[in-house]
Amino acid sequence: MKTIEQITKEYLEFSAEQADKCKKQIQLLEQEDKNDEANLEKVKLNIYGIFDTLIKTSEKKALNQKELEEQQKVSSFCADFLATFDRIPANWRINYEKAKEHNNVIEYVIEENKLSVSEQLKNQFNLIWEVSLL
Amino acid sequence: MNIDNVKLFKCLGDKSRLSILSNLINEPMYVELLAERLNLTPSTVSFHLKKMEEVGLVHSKKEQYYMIYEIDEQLLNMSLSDFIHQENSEEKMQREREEKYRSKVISSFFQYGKLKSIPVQRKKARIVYEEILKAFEPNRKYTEREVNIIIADYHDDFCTIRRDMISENLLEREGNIYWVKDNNSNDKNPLQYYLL
Repeated sequence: MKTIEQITKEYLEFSAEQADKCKKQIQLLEQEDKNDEANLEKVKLNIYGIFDTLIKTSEKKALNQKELEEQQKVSSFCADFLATFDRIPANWRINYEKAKEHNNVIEYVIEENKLSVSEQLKNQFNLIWEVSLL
Repeated sequence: MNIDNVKLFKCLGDKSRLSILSNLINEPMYVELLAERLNLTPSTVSFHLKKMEEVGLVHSKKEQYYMIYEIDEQLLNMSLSDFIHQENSEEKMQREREEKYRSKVISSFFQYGKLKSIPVQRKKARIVYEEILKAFEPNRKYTEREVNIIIADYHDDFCTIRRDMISENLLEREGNIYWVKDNNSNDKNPLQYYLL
């Protein structure tokens, strides 16, 4: 079983890789005068940053739980971080639904982007955790 | 046609939107087809179309299950000089709005040629004083007594109005002599001519 630090490291590597792709894409789009699409990529880039911060918080929180066994700490850490994928995008989901209802395309495309990144990161984290259980 | 030119040109300053327009010029299309042709996601295409719809470059209409987008031919056939001309029309409209406001203030504050009250708002007071200024002849010198008599025809508080007309740069004075300020001329003081 992987440790909290290993899981965090793996997750952050994946996130950094995706963020790098985003940065390259932003550069490319800006060079091509596709500024709105570049801005949409910037929105994505922010989301990677948000969840990077959140995983570090969950890691710190779990490591400070001295009373727990190592395995319990890992479970607590994973559960805590996974919960952020429900908690943080909750408002984005509401905004997305509202925008869709009012046919506010610009708003819902932005929210859709944010939700797709959080979904991607959640799936990746689940994958890292599942593999760590093997 | 009411177009926000700045918004329109900003909207056009995006390569993807120009590609979408270029496709729509050939034929009206739905989002998915445009997305496929331009190798963009349907969401991104919808995003761009919405922005173009907001400035009037494209219109949408529902056909069976699809929302079909088409260009606004009239707008796209306009020349750059048409846009510049339209901008000038906006200035004209602005002037008309100001003139309308001016007439409204004058009719509210004047009755039978008399000023009912001195407006508290500076903008309105200025309009009222400009109206009173019409009673003065340009390029003529007035004594303070003459100025008071002219203003007293409009309102009893001629002292306040006279002072305000000076501070509003409508009248100028030197000693006991007043004259209408020529705001189009650099000659500040016609008295100087007499002193030469």
